[in-house]
Amino acid sequence: MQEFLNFVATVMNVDASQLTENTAYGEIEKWDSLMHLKLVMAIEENYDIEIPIDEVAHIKTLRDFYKYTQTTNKAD
Amino acid sequence: MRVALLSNVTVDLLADQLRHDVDIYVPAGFDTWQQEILSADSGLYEYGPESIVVLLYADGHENIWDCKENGEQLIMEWVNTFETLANRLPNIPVFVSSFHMAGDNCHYATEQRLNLYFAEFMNQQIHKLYDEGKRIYALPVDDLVYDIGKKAFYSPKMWYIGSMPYSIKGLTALSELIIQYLSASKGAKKKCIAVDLDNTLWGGVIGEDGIENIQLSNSKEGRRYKDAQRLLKQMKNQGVMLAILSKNNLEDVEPVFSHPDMLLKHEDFVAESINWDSKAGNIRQVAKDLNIGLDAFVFLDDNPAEREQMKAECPEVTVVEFPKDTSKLPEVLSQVYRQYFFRLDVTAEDAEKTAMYQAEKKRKTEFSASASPEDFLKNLHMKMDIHLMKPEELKRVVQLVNKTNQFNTTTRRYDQDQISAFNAQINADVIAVRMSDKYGDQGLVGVMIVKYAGNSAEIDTFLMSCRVMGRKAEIEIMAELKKYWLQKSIRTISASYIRSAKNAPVCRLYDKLGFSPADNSDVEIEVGAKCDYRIKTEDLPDTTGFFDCTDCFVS
Repeated sequence: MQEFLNFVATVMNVDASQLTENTAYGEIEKWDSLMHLKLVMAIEENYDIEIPIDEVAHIKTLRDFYKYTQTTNKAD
Repeated sequence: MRVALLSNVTVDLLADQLRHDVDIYVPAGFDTWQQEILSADSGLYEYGPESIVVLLYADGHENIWDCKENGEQLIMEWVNTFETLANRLPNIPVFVSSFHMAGDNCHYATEQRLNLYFAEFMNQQIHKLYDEGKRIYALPVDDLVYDIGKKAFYSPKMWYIGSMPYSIKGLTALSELIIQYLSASKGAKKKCIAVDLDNTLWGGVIGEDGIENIQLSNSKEGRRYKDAQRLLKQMKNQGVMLAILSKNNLEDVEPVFSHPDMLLKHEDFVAESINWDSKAGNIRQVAKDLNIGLDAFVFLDDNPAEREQMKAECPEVTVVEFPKDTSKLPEVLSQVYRQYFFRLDVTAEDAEKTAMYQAEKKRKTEFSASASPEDFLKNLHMKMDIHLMKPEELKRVVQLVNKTNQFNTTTRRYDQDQISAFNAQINADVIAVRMSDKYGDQGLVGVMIVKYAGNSAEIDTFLMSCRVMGRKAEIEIMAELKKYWLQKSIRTISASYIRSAKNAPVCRLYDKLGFSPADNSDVEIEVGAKCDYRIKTEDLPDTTGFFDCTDCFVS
């Protein structure tokens, strides 16, 4: 999990200590709608997984993102 | 640098990346780029950009791209908008993305691929604007797609969710390309590439392997070196100076220049240091001869010890990391080009730079051997061609007016439109001076802008390239103009000298040409101080006798 949070911190350009698995969309200033999309792209690319388009809007916390990295939902 | 980023898609993430290097303005609202350009009181003009990037994603527009006429029509609408922009901000470079789209299509085998047609069509339109003198450049987004692949460059998910067609990888590539173009608008970063010979321009060591065993050929292993040479030659043709720094015996190297696959010839190099001295010492000497700083050099050498020594002794020189796998040598050179030598425009003077430099070297040698400066000038067989500026000379004249500092009496800067306007006026002349001698053509080296009122003329601008200073050309120009002005019944000439930080060399120019000064006590010291001069046309100097002026407009 910490490795994942570290990765998210670099994408958001914030200090990793500011993030926990419970950090939620809109809770910190940097995580706006644009950053949300950037996270989707960055996490997909880095973990070689796919987050289906219909689920993107339902992701609320970093834990929700983290779950995708643990699945076998590999990109084509 | 202040840069406006206009687009028909969401570019906030791209803007964030670009903000690491430049200041970015993105208009409010989605797909408002045309309104921004067309309404004169938009945020774009208020912002006052120094460069503009227009990024248009063809799929951003509703899909009309399966009909040739509709596509052409839309592209022309875009192009007209670019033209409006270029007219409103004439001195600002505008970078327009090449035609690109990512949407999927069902193409049958023999179908004409309209996307390729539109790409070429739009490219031609952009080039046409450039040829008409607009500072509009195509930003080759399609190169990036070739480089990293369509699937990696675009992200359909981001497009469908956020109207952003590009992936993270795509955004990074795009921002690098944009930065490359923006920084080129300030000119190339470096001037000269100094190269080793053995295992750099050919494979093997000439002194040991001999001419029949080095790798340099049209196919297989030797081709990588031939390709490397081809890239260096392309750079040279754009005004990059090439120099050789090699530890070798001169007589071993010479036969390679006759090798059928040796693309680079002696005349492609501005300097050849082939000896056993340290390369740091040699590069210093080359820098001195070329009159450029060590920080204008890039150094390419396969030998890590030479590279380390160069870094240690000449830290200003940029040392290229030589590829371990030399099949990557051409790729490394193209990166070097993009990073250090990429330029937006290449003038005829750039293309001739090496030849001109070599001619200058011969002149210097002859000068040192001459009995007197007059002897030297007489033996040069100089030719002068003075005439009213021709349309094809406009770009060079604008370049000289805006970059000449030393031999420039008033340092007034004018843009292309202003120069064209002077040229079109009945009561003004834009006069161009070309020079050549037995060593070569120096091209367009002098400009004078003259305004007329009744029987008097006023020299608004008089400048010459520093490469022809010391040839008495200024006297000859006046002698020729004397005839021209007498024919036009011009009785008096007025001129002025305005002191700048750099034009001290022409501080007493008009005094030397016989003009009478008004009060001029301040011009020796104070930047901005102005001294006015006057002369009767018949008192202008006569010919120096050093020039053949048969091509001049009054002769």
